[in-house]
Amino acid sequence: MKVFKASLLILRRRAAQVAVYFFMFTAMFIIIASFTSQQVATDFSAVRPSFTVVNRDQDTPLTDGLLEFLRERGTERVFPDEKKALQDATFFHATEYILIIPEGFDQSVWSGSPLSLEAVSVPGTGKSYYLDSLANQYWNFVNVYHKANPSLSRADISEMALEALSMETSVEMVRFSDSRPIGELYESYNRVQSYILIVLTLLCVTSITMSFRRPDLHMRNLCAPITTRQKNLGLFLYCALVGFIVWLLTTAVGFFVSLPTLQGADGRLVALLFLNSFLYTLTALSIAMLLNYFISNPNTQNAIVNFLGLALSFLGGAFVPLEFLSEGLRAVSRFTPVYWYSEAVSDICRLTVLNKESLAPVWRSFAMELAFAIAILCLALAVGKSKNKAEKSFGSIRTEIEM
Amino acid sequence: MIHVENLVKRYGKLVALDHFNLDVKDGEIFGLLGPNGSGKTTAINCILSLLTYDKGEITLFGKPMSPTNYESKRKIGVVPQNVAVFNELTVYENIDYFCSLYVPDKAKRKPLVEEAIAFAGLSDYRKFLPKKLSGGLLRRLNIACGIAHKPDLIFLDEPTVAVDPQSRNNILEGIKALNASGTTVVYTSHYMEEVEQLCSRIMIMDKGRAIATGTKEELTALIHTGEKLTVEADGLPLSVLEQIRNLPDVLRADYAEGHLKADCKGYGHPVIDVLDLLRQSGVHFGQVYSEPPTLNDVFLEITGKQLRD
Repeated sequence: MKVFKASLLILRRRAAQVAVYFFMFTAMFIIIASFTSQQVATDFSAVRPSFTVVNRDQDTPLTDGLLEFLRERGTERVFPDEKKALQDATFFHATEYILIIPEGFDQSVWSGSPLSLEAVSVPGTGKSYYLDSLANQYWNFVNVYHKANPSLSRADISEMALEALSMETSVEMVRFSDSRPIGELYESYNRVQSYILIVLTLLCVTSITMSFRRPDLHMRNLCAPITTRQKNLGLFLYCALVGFIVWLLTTAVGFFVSLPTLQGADGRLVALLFLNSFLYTLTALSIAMLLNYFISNPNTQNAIVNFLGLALSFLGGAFVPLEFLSEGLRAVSRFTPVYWYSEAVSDICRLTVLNKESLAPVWRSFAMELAFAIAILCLALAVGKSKNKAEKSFGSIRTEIEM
Repeated sequence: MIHVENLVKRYGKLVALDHFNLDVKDGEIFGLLGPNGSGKTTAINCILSLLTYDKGEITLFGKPMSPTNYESKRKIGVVPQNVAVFNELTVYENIDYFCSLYVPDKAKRKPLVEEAIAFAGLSDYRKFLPKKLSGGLLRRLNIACGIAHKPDLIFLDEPTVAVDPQSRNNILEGIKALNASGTTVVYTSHYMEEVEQLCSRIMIMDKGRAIATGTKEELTALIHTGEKLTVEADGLPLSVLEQIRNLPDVLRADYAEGHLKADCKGYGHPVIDVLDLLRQSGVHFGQVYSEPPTLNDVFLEITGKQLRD
């Protein structure tokens, strides 16, 4: 327990470094979450462009109907039918659209071969297209109703066209994520959690092993009446506690920040996500055990921890979905534990039914994570053994005596 | 207390310890003196079972020493050459941690830690981290970590390297106090003055071998060189210098920069003879100094080189 207690004391002195990573990550996530949870606009108010209608034909129910229709959707500006006045109106943006109804237009519509309407608009604005479209819609309806029933009067046709144009369809925006068992926010958090889990675990574990592996301190410990088993047990307890705390903290942060989006979510799925991140913590601990043989000072520690954390998380799809990676990278990523972690997150977040078949891919990913943890731990033990042999000094003695 | 017989340690082709023998008695301060690379630290590391060795036998407290001889380890304190403390722990926490490896009971440990802090003069620095301490204070912390559990036998491996004179004196006084309380001390150094001042018995080492062992007096008696005479004299003629060289108790004599320097034979005292000769020759002389032979002279005569070469 002496080694365990000393490890906790050492960690306390390095807490600032660990806290920086933790709070940066938490702050980053909360900011992202606040953006994500902002209400999406569900309604809008239509723009009312200004327009002018110059009627060089006679006033008829049809042209009156057009004016009425345009007035509902825009603001009318009246100018005299003079070339200079109209040019000034568009130049000074007094009106954005001028529709000129040519002489004999009403009669041409009635006879079935309508004359072209002339339109002048302010250059570079989309509003003219909108007003063009409105005018066309009106005349199209007039044409349709007239051809369908030539006996109808101009007033009737205009009324029917306006009625048809006033009909609206209500559109309901349905978001895909609302129909998912686990919200998009919590899924994103779980993906990114793999990064902070590995970085914090590696930092906390290697900070201690780095100190205990310092040759002078190692020697001093070997001089003391403490067995290797006692020392290793202390370090093991420390790693287990640190791993658990890191997992608990990062999981709790994600859970509470995403809580509003988890209303009504299946608790079993959340539990599976907890288990997934816990298994990944075991893998991170194994990696830390392996790395402790290669990290000898704080500079190497920061470089290795950041590089490994970012590289593994990137390859595993923590930051960028795997679909965006090239085929080659995706093939490589299958050989990283993060890939299986991310796979499990995706599978769990899409589970709508919990049964043997639907859970099979999840169990497979869990098994892969566990397999990675065991394999890396075995590798760490093998490296440790070979390193001790290579040192050929501490902790062993040959008692061959020359006779 | 310590018995080492025919210890051989090789690093490849280099023989670090060559049939090294050592006997340290209960209650003494035993000094291992030798230049850098003479095998002092290797010898200690082998005795402590920190290093494997090729041949030999090591017995501590009457029992063969091995990495698993925890009973003997419990009675040993080690102060390594380099300052071996945790940079992240305070002075108190460091001493408490190393003491806890020997004394698990917190209640028993606390007074021991306090005593070690007072002994090392670190009372004002108990909450300091090592990086805030000066070189001398760090060395004292290093010592406090090694002695806090009140061991019967302490190994001090060059504890005064890179320490200012004041701290060095404090450390040496502390070691004497430890010995006075009954602790056996094995002290390695390449500073002969320290070893002369501190140790009751001394072993001089070179190239992994023990070349002489005994008290300071026994060691200086081993050599032909006796006291060293220095006389301030103006214009010493060559003929007079020759006469001085021919005196029966003078081994060597040289004259340079107004100083006559003469090495005397082991038990000879030719001071009066030299001064009479100078007076008779009409040579005016000023101050006269006489120094007894040092361990460096012993080392020089046996190995043909200086201790600090």
